[in-house]
Amino acid sequence: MRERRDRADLDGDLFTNRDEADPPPEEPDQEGEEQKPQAPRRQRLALHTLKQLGQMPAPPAAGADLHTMVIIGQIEGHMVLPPKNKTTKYEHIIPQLVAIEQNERIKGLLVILNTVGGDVEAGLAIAEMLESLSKPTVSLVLGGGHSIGVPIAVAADYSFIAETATMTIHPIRLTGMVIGVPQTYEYLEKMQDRVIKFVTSHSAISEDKFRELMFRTGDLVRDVGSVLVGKDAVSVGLINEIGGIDKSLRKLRELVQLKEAEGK
Amino acid sequence: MLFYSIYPLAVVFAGEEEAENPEQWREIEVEGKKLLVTVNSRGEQVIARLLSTDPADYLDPRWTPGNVIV
Repeated sequence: MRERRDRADLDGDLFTNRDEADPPPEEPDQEGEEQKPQAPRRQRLALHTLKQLGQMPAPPAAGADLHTMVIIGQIEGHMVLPPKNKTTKYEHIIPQLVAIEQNERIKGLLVILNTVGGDVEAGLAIAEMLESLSKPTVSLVLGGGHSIGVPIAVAADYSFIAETATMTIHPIRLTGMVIGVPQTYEYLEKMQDRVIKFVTSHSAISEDKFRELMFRTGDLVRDVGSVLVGKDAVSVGLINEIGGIDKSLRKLRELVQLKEAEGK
Repeated sequence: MLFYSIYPLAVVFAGEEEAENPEQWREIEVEGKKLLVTVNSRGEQVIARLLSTDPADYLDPRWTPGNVIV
């Protein structure tokens, strides 16, 4: 008991909203409640919250065995983008995916996308990691999952898109050095093919259809291939189903149960 | 570098030449949780983002963006 109290005080030192006065007497009733079958660390945190804010910590989410990963803003690659960009960094995402793969408590992963695209290499790296994850994965496109977000969305075992969310498929643009036109063209073709191959091999869309969408001219946005809104993304075979968070989590649970049944 | 985004490159890279303060963003770890923090004028670390895949972590009020760590 003594030791636990000390630890809680230590934690309190980290935060400025700390009550400088002596810790209020602990309420035995509430604390007793908190001592259910939980790890010692959780108890320590609960104690801390009681003292600091006078309230119980939020209960652990019922689905804490399902983890979530949010891909937002620009997907940042080998270059750090100017600070005004909101970015998803692969040095964060990739170790997290490795941890998820290894943690036995985690049963499945929900990937939520709201991205405008980004670095091809980094985006493909995340997609490749997701695709090779042994645990069930479900992706959900909310708002928009454009450009390099497309391979990430299809890399999951099952994909959802909100009815009003959009996905933009357009040609890849090149930044930096242009050595010679034919070489550059060939290089760009190769890079584009990588994205096309990944998407077509992980979704129901055919290569011809994807290419057509990618290079379509005269659509709403001039330079920008095609914009697929919710239903369109499903009807071309890119995404499995229209849905939101409820459907996504239900599907993920279903996949987890299926996998567990297989394992028996 | 190849960039595949709906944002024009000029928009993404705008302001790159402006004086950048590399210390502006800092990644720290508190109680095993990775946090992205900014440093305010008083030198305090303000939580900008919690980097975790466990949804339960986001229900813990201590990791709310805007909280100050000293």
